[in-house]
Amino acid sequence: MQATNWGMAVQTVVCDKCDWNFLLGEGSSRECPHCFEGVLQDFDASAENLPHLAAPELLISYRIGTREISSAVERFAEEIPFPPKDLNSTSITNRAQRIFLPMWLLDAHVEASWQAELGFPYQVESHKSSYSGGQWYSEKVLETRLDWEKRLGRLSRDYQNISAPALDQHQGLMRALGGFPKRESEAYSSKNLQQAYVRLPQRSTKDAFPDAQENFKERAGEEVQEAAAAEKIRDFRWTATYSSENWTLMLLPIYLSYYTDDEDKKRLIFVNGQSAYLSGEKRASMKRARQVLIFGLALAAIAVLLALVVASFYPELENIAAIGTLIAGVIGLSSVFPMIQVWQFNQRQEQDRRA
Amino acid sequence: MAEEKFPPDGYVPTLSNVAGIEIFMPAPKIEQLDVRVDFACPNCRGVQAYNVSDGGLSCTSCGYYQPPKGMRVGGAATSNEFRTEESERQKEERIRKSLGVNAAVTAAAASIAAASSPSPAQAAKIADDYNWGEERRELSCTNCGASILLAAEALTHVCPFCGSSSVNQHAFLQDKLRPRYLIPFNVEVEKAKASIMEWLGSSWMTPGDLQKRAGLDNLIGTFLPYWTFTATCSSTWKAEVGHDRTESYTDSNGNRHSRTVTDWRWESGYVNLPIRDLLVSGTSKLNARLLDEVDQFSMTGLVEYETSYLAGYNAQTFDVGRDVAWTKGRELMREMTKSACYGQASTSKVRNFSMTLDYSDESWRYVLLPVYLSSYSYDSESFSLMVNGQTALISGQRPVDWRKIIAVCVLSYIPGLIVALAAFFRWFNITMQQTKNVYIAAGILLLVAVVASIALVVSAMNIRKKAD
Repeated sequence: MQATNWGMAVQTVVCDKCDWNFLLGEGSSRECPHCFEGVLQDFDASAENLPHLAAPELLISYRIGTREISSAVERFAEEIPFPPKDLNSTSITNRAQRIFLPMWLLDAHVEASWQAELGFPYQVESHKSSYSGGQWYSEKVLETRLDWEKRLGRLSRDYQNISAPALDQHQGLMRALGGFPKRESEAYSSKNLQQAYVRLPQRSTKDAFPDAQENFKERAGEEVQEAAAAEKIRDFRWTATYSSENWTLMLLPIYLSYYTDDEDKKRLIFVNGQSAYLSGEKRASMKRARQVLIFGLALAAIAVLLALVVASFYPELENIAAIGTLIAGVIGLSSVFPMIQVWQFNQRQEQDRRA
Repeated sequence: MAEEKFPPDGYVPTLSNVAGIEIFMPAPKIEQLDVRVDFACPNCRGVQAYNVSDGGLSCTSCGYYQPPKGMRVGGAATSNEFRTEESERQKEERIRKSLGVNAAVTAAAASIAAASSPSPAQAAKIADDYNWGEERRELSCTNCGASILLAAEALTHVCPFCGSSSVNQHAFLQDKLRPRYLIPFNVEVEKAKASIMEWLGSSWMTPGDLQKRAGLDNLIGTFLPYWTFTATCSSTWKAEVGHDRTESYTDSNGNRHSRTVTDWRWESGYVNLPIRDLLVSGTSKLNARLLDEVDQFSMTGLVEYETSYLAGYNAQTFDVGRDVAWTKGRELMREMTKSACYGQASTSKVRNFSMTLDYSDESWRYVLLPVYLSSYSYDSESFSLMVNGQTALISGQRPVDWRKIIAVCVLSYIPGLIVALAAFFRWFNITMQQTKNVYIAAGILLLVAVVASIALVVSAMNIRKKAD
């Protein structure tokens, strides 16, 4: 189905493997930019089955390019002992796909009655003393504390662009991407969509409304704090009614890429298109650790052989031969450690992933 | 369904910096200044007074009884933090600004503004902090300088502190903090009198006719001002601690001896000492030694300040300010903490002691505590007395009958002198060989007599010294 008002021809598509659905611009690849395994098929469902297909109101544009991604990948790989060969900046940047994630924005007029405790700072005097040489020394210390005072009131305010998740995985994705500053947003323009996929919303506005309400409440709490010139606010409760609601979308820029591990399994890499914050599943390469073990054992074998030769033909150098044997033993034993290290690291990652 | 009232009762509008947001705050507590409470019996218009046995107001004419209104709070009585003056001023300014803006547009705030001048916040603070809630007059003693608040209808012409009868009365300046809590009198005046009489006759060092000649008509129940301080004292200390051991050595002549040697070892420790309700007197007009002995009060007896507890008693305002009292309180606390640190050392021999002390969770209260004050004259000399109104503990000055002291001292020398004379005149068939030993015995007896005499004189002076 063709979406309208996007300023360019776009097509709704869905991956036949991972079921992520996108809007696809003309000439974009049909390889799924999420699982990198499926093929994007045209999606012919009616508009009613999709939460929203109108062009977004706001968009945060890409600020970083391949150079920043490469640096982020290098830092990421440094944290892994014996990273897989495929985990390198060239592979990751070559495979990186631009995807815009959707987020709901809601404008509304709010009428509410509220109550809260507001914190106003004050200072108290405390003292410190010390005793030495038979004499006391004292000094005054000032500490800042908060006076919590009860306030209540009414509120009649227009709020714009209060956000709410449009994807079921929104929280997890934001944790992986480190969040996006809304102040960096700009009005939507189709030229920002060049060579990019747009992820379609999963959640309807009805589903997203409770999350939006929480954000309205948070914003209102901040404004009440400002209105009362307080330093902090706590226990903010309100009863609100909403009117003049207007739902729109905001697009968030990310890069999605992957590397393959020892078993040729694809491990996804998420990169924030604004801040270059990178995250993904970390896997150490057992294959590379095994190579180190083989090399170490070979070295140890050579050392033992040399020691035997020296001991047989030059009995006066038997001390050196003994030392050589000892060194061979140390090399042989220590070459096992990389495998232990890789095994432990992967186990830990697996536990973290499950948690 | 009726619409819920907004804002609820007791809230007034306050300043908002954002359009479209209305803010309401709890109305500051306003108390009327100079409220006079008449302790007149509602039954017969007779005089009412606080009744120790019932803990309420009783009519002295018809016996009509009214239970007390103040709630017993004990240790849960609210404490105050040591806020800086700047913070207090800022808070006052904030409340004044908030209410001032709205005073012009809301009836509630306008009524607050009308009830208090120059500003609602200041008036609230004045009313809240400085008002005693009962008309009292301040008396100033021209002899000792003590100032005391007296109920208007119970003017006393005898100073309870020094017994002077020349007292000037002047208008009470309402510049004193209002006490929030007090401990009511728990000891009836008759019981206090009986205890005093018993106490006056309890020492053999005092004149035998003291009980008869010391008139106690002026036993006056007085609420004394006190500051209570609470804090947690955290301290780290280190010191060299001495450990004694005995060692043997051989002198230059080859003889073996033993001697005690002290090994000094560094020790350190940490003390976390919570100190609750340390009492510091708010008056400097009373004998500090007497006060220290008598001010052992249990704070579990604290009740909320209520004027009826004062009916029939006097109450003194403080002349030792909170900051001065807190300086003294901190000195006491640090000495208590130092003692706790010393207590952690493995022996009592300590040198090069040093410590750091952090006070935390400091708080204070201003309370009134019940004490019976009295004075009496004996041989034209004035003596002061105090009785704890909660526990009946007595502290006071007593005259000493020096004739008795001297007589006892002289008597203590007699055995030694008799033994010495016996040796000299060889009474009781004392042989030459025995003389030396008898002289030694006489010397010991005389030495004991000297020590006993000194102890006796010090003890006697201690009774009298309280007057100095």
